[in-house]
Amino acid sequence: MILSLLTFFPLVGAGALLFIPRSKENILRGVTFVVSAITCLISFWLWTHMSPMHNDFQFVEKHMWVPRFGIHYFLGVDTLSIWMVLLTTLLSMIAIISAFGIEHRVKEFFIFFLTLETAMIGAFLSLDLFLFYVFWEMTLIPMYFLIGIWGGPRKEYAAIKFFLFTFFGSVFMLVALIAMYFQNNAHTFDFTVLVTQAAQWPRSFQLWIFWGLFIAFAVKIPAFPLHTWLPLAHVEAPTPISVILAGVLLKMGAYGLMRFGLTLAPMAAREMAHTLTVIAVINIVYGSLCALAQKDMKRMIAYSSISHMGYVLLGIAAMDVMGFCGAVMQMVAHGLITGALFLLVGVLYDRTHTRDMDAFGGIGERMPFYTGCMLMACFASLGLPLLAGFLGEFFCFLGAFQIEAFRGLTAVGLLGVLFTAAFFLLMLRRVFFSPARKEWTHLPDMNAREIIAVLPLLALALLLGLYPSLLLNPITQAFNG
Amino acid sequence: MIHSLSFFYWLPAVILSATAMGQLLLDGMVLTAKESSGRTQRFLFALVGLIATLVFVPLPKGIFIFGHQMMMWDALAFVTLWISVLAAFFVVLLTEHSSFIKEDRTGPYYSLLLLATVGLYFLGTAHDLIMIFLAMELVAIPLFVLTGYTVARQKSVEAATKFFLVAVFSSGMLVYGISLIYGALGTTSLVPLTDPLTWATHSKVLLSMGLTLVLLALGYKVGLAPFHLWVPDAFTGAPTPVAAYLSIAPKIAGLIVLARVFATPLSLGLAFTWTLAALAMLTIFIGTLVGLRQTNVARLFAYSSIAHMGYMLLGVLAGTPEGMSATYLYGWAYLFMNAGAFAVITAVVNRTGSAELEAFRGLSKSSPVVAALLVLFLFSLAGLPPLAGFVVKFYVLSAAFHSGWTLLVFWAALNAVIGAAYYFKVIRAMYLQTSETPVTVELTIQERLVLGATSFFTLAIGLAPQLFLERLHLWLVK
Repeated sequence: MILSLLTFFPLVGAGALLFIPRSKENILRGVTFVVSAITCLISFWLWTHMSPMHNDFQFVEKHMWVPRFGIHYFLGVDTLSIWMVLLTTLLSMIAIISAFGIEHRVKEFFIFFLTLETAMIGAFLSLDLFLFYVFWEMTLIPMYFLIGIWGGPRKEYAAIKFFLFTFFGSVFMLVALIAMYFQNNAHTFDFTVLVTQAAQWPRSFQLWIFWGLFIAFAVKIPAFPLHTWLPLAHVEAPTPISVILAGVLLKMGAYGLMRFGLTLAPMAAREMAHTLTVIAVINIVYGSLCALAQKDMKRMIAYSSISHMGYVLLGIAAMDVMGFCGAVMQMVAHGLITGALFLLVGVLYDRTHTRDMDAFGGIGERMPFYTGCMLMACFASLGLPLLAGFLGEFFCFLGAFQIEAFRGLTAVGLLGVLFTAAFFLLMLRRVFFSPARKEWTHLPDMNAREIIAVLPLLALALLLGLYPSLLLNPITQAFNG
Repeated sequence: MIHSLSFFYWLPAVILSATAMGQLLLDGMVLTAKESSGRTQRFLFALVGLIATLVFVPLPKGIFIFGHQMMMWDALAFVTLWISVLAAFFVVLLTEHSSFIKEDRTGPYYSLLLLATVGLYFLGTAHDLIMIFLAMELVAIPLFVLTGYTVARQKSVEAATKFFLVAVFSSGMLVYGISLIYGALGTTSLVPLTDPLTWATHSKVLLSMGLTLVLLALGYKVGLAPFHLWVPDAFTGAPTPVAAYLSIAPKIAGLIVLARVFATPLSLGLAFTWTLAALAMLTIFIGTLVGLRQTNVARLFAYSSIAHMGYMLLGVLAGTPEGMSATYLYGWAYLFMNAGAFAVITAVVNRTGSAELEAFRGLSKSSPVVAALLVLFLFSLAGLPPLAGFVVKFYVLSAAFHSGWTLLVFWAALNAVIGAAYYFKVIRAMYLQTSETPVTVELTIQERLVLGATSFFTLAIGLAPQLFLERLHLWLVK
């Protein structure tokens, strides 16, 4: 029951919001925050109560849903998904804090937001592929509105582009699901059953399945060349939604690839590992080069996400314990750090209504606390040791480097790390440490709400950097088992 | 004994016809008494007639042949009648406050609507090609009168004329096709057509030519591409409630007849299979692609209905009981989501007089509930989970996939993505765009009833499809 509670609690909260008059904005904000905080607590409780010795799915709930198609309502959590769920609930809560600043159509915003949270948690917990698809698609609907109504100047285009890209990917997954349903003799969408049969499926069939699933996940990750929706959506989305997009939705793609892509077409996945590595390296290098060319800070961070998700893809493509650990670590780290970066850029944008790096100067003198946060977030993102980003990156590369055939490619990928350092440092110099400009002399430093939103993320990035075994130990154990 | 039994199978047609005729009589009486009153009475009378029909629809217990071997009562007939009567029911509810229909002209309007529904009863039960032809005429004639019902609007008259010409032309093809089949088989009954042996013992050329003509005629009637050109004009010209009826009842019934006539040829894998596959492919594509360019919501829904016919055709194409039950369930889901969407469109058109996208701007602010409901129906039509439209699309696609139509399934799935883009145009207008004078829609009781029922079933079929599936399958497998 606990997993259903966790999944549907935000949706119940959204239902409750319907009955609050739209003029009572503070009550709406308060209720939403409480709902997301309780959801976060439930997921934390779940984390502390998971048995570490147990590699299988825990807290399993399984009920027949549509008997004619063998569809189950099947939820379960394991060491991989719990981290994704924790990330989701935490980032949702923080995004909601940062969304207190939204004053336009408040009620609808929070209703869509909580619906989105249910869909995201559901996607990470589903163990029936049909159910997974339902939740996967359900994330699109609120996201479309959240970008489309509360976004920037090109919001309409960004929203529909995001929607159509992901929907386009999804239909490939849908056809792959149907194919798997008829291929397995049990006629089921139950992941735990399919996984035991997958190894016997013929090679060509596995290749079809793999590509079907991969295209769906690649759009979300986003992997080159299906990434073009991302910069637009991230830039146009309001700050809290950028946080969720980068922090959680991208992880859904990588998570899907790890959980379903690699396990349901094992032979094809090994065969395609090389292709995945190539795509990963393109993501890393191309993403960081694009970031280097940006003048808009938010756009730069969006491209850095593409580059960082390339690390994740590289770790996954390595298909060894080291690589997987790196991928999970990088996913969590990227969620925390990029979340913080988007929040921080949002802080500056709220004050100045511009994100153009050249328009700024000397912010370091005006907003010292803000600058400190930004420095830490940027260093975490470019992979400074002792911060979370470093270990994720390191293990991804290490995992891939162990494979003889990938060495050259991995070495090329390392260039991306250099470019990443370059664009972050250049940005810091231009915005914070260049000569001060007159128009920004009266900027106030971060207020309490902004600090409350950003600090937990930075603290966790530091914690995971100092004490990575919190995450790495259980993950290593799970993949070894 | 047979005669007394068959009476029950005739009963729906009797009730419907009696109500239709009664409407005309009532009309005469009321008109002589008082000019403006009577609208409510006529409305209630039509509703009572439809409800009585539903009460007396016999359950399909096996197959029952009656009416001089020309009619058959089975699961197909049952589903067709229910869908048709429910569609008529929703349309009657939506017409009550329609600004299109003048006070004194509702009598003939309801009468014609009910007569078309009688035609659909015959179409669903037809067990003979001649019966199919007669039923088609009985459906078409009231419908083109209804399409042109608002004589004052030039568009309406044009639409009716177009619809009429296409109907006459396709009827000609149908009759010619039937005559060829008669020439080959010496009978117009459907029995030999459903017998695989027929194809071994009779002239294949004559039969194939005849059936091809029948297929083309049916294609015109249900608006498969490339015979769809009358559909958008009819939808924009007709009063919106009539467009709602046009988009649902005759199309689904026509498709079911198509399934009935072509079930055996399809299962034998004859050349029709490829013709039908090509038609399905083209219908889905045209319905989706041309729909993208529309700025009038009625026209957009015309193309949407074309595309949905294509998806339903996939189930027929599968040629398996699975595919048939997928097509039925699609029919049900389509009835609810399309009727629901048209209920909102009608409500907006009644208040603004326009079905252009601009009329929907800012609706989410002025009438949030109405806008949210339309979003529900649009998402369902676009095939997003967890709504009815997704489940049935999934069902149809998996049935076609199981029968080996892998590429066609891919094609349909990709088109579903493009299709989503045009449903989102309406959503964008309602939610993302604003207007200085957004229309406020205060729902009437009738509209509430339609929207309540349709949204309930759109959700219910999506969340608990097994409740509907098991029953359907039970009837079908028998």
